[in-house]
Amino acid sequence: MTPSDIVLRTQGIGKYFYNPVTFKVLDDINFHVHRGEFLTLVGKSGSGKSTLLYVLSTMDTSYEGELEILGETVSGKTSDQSSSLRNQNIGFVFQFHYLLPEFSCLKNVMLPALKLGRYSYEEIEERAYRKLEILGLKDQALKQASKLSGGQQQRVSIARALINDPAIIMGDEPTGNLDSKNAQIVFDIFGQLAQEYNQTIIAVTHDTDFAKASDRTIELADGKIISLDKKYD
Amino acid sequence: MRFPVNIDIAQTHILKGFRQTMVASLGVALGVAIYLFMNSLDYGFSGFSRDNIFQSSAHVKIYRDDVLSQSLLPEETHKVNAIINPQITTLTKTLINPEFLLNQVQEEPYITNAIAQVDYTLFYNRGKTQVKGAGIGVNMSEYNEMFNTQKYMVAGNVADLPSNPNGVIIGSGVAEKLSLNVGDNITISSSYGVSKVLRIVGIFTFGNRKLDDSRSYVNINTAQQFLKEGPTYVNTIYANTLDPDNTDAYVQQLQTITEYTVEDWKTTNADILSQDNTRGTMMTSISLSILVLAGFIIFNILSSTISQKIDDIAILKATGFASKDVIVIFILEALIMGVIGTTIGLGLGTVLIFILSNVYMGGPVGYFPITYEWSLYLQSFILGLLMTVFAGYIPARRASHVDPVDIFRK
Repeated sequence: MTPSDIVLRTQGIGKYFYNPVTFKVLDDINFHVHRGEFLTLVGKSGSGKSTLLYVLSTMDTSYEGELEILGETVSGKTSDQSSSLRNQNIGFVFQFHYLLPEFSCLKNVMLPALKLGRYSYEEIEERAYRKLEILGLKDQALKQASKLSGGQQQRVSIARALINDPAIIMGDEPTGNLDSKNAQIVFDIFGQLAQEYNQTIIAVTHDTDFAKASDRTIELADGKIISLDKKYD
Repeated sequence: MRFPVNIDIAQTHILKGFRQTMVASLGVALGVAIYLFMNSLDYGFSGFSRDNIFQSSAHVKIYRDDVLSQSLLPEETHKVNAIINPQITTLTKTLINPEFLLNQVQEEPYITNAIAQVDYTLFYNRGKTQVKGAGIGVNMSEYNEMFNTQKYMVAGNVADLPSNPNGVIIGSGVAEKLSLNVGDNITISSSYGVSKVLRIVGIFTFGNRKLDDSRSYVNINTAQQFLKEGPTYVNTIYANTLDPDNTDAYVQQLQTITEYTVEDWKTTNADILSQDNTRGTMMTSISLSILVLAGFIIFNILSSTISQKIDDIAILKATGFASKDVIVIFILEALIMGVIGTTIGLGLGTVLIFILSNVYMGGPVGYFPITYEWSLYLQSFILGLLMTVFAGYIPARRASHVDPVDIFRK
């Protein structure tokens, strides 16, 4: 592996919660992620895995240590700078918060690309249709987002995460709220993205099947990495 | 339509939240309508009251003021205390060389027209009845140009005065009291004991009892004869200027060419102007308060919209929208509500103005003096928008501070 293959690297990341008492939620987190890797973060409730994901996502900026994404140091950037970095390089899939309910599915997928402004409106529309097609939702494109089922909404939000062809896709319990059939669809898509499109997936999960399906699993306990490559029997 | 993405989002919010948009817009509309209406009311009435002032007083007048006698001893000498009785020492009210002064005044670039006038005190006599009055001797055609007296004539014509050396124009009050009509003769005697029989060529009504019951106009040389003075006697020069609001500067400039007292209409009518100012301040503060209330409606509605959409804001920020994008989105929403509301408000205000302009007040006022003044429309529009943008900015800023991590981790 050459260094340029590393899309994300952390160096001594630590974070405190101050309320109600000072508590070290992340402690000396060091790892790196390669391009095209399907990585899962697991750990018990309160182990700090979600907190770590939000630090990696650049949305949480109050931590110590250093975070590097695509060779660029992210730590210390202003919130607007990290917004623009997220816009281009990171796609998100959440557990509960899917879509903007007042917009059509198509518009939901298009918004991050419209913000990025790399392509014209027509091209973005065309690309959004293609992403929805990959996820089998082309026929739902013009429906209002709030009219879709949970599984469908989650797939639309994956299409949205893909629209700017980001290097990294992050998921916070992306299958946590789905039935097993829909969860299976999401696994398959993630696997496919990593393999075929060489995109990096970093997902927090407590779903063992999901973790097993990934290339590598990092396990956390009490804010520390206890295994960089957890093996399941 | 292809708008930048922030406009697109704001537009969708506005369209999907149609009911809220309309409530907020109507709030602004009412505020703007009342603001426009009340200010038009004040503007119309101030205009009316100013017209009233200018029907009898010019922008600037030049006259010889009374001078008090000076102490015979210089003030610095304290050795002797001279007890004197200050008295008015003005022997004559005439301006010296009025023709020259009048020409000089007329040549000033900011003077539109200037006239010379002779004032005198008189009695109207008929049989044993005597009515006290104030006479004015003028060149009536110039005077009419300045004060538009013809507008107030109820009988006869101002143009008949210059052509009739023994003519007089009297007020309707005098005409009524002495039961006189155009064509009748009237005996007028001055305080200098001069008595003349003049022919009435016109009757005016200013709607001001004091003027209608006392004033009369004669030719300037008739007035000079009443005062037993020669043809150079003039006691006041009246002048109109380009801008009646800027008379302070004109007075200063005129004062450099004459040593007589130069006084502008604001000084002469200080009482009416202070009433106007009081009313204007009242109207402005009431209408502004109502506008602020309307702003509060926008503030309230946007605040609750933002609380409802806090998840959406978090998603937008997670997918790469910056804080300033969030501010822009919500300010745009406020602005759209503002534009809709202000437009409806201006229409509503126009209806209110139209209704009031058809209310008959009676007397010299006639229909209520209210006008459609475009500058007030512009002012209401701008203020309405500024207010909504300001009212929208506070909740928009709060929205931009939403931390997506807090929302996602709930």
